[in-house]
Amino acid sequence: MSRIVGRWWWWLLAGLPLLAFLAIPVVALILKSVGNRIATSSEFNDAIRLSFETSLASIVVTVVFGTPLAFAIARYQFPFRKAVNVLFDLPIVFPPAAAGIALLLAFGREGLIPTSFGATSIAVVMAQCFVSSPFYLRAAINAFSATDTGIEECAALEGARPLEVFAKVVMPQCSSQLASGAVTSWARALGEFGATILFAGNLAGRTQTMPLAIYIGWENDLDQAITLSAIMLGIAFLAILVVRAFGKQ
Amino acid sequence: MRFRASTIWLGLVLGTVSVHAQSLNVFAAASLKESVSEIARSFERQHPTCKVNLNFGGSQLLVAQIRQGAPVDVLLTAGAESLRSLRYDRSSQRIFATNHLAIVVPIGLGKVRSLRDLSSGIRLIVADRHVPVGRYAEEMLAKAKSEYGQSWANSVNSAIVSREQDVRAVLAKVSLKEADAGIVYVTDYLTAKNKVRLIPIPERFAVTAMYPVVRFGGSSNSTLARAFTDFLFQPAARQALMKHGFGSPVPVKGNVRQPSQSKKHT
Repeated sequence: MSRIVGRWWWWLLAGLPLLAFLAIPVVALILKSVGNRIATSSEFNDAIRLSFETSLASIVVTVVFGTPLAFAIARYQFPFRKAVNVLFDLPIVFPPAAAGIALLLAFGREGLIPTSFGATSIAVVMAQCFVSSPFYLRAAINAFSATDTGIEECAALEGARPLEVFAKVVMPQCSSQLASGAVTSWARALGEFGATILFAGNLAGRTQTMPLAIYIGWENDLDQAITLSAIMLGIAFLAILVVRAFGKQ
Repeated sequence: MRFRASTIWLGLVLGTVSVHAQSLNVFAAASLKESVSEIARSFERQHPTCKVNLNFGGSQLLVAQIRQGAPVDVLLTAGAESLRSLRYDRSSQRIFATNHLAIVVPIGLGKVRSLRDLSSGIRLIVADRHVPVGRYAEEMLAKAKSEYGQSWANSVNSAIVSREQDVRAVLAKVSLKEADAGIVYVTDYLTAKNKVRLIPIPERFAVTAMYPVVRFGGSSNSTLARAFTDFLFQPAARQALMKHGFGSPVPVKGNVRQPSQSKKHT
C-alpha cells in the first residue's frame, strides 16, 4: 500500500515548509517563556481571572440556549431553517473586528437595540458568545442529526415524556460530541480579541482579557506578553487534548 | 541585529522590485493621519522618483514595531517620551508640531459641559497610559486635581470605562456615542466636527503635546530621509499641519523638554 503512493517521507518533505512554519513560532514562544520572569502585576492577574470568568460565562450561555436551538435545526423543518443554519456559520468566517462593529451597531448605546452593556464585562461575554457559539452549535447539530431515532420511538412507546426522551435517550448518545463542541467553543471564546476590543473596550479588571492584555502590553512589556501568550498556548494544547479524548469515546 | 537583518532584506526586495524608484518608510502617530498623508503626497510631487510608505498607529505601537525590526527611515511621534527605548540619530531630533488636548462629547449628548463635569457618573474614554495622549491626559487631570480635589479625581478615575490603544479609537467610540466624553487632541476633534462637540480645557490645566521627528541612521536612503524631515519645516508642510490644527514648532535640537520632566520642576 505504502509503495503504491510512495514513501512517507516524500510527502512529509513536500509539506515541510508549512510544518516548519507552524512549529517554529510555537517553539520560539516556548523557548522565550522558559525562564521568563513571572509577572505578578495586578493587571496580569486581573486579565487571567477575567478571561476565565467571561469565557466560562459565555460557554454556559452558549450551551443553555445553543442546545435547544441546535436540536430544532437538526430535527425539524420550519420556515427560514436554512437561513438560520447559514447564520450559524457566519461568525466562523466573519472577521472578529467586523463582528465588534456589528455588535456596537446592534447593542451600542445608539444601537438598533440600545443598551448600556458596552464597556462592561457583559459586553465581553457578548463578544465571546457571538464569535464562539457557532462552534458549539455546529457540533451539536451534527450530534443531534446522527442519533438513532428508533430508540427514541421505543422510549416514547414505553410512555416516556418528550423531555425524558431528550434527557435520557438523546443526550447520552450526544454528550461526548456536545462536550467537545463546548470545549472548542470555550477555547475560541478565551482567545477572542477583535470583537472584544471594539465592543467592550479595554479596561484592566473589567474588560481587559488575556488577548487584550497581550496586545496592549506587548508594546510596553514584552516579557509579560510572552508569559501570557505561553499560558494561552498551554490552554490551547489542553483544549485540543480534551477534544481529542472526547472524540475517541 | 534583527533590525539590521530585516533592513537588508527589505533593501534587497526593494532593490530588485524597483531600480529607479526610491522608497521612504515613514511611521507617524495616529493623530497625524490626515496632515502627514497630505505632506507625503506633496513630498512625492517634489521628488517624483520617491514613494513614501506611510504607517500610522499609536506612537507606542510604532516604537514597538521598530524595536522588533520593522524597517523605518523617519518616525514622527506624539511625544519624545515614546522614543526613550529606541536607538536613532539623536542629532536629527526636532520638534515639528505641537498639539493640545480637548474633551470631546457626542453631539446631542449634553451630560458634560466642562472639565469639572467629567466626574458625575458619566462614561469617559481615554487612551491607554502607554499612548502619548493617554499620558498627556493623566498630566492634565493631575493638574486639575490640585484645584478640584482628590474626590473629583477619584470619581474621574471611576468614570473611565475604557483605555484605548490610540487616540483615533477614543474619537471613534465617542462619535458612536459609546461614551459621554473622551480626551483626545484638538486636531482629532477637527476631523470629526460633525459628530462631536469640543469642550475646552481651562488654560491653566493645559498640556502641550510636542511632536518630535527623528531619522534612523542605519537606513539606506538617509539623504531622502533628511529631505523629508527638512520638508516638514517648509511652507507646504507647515500649511498642511496648520490646516489640521497643529501648532508651530519650537526648533530645538537634541534633548527636548519632556512634559513629564516639567512636573518635577514645579
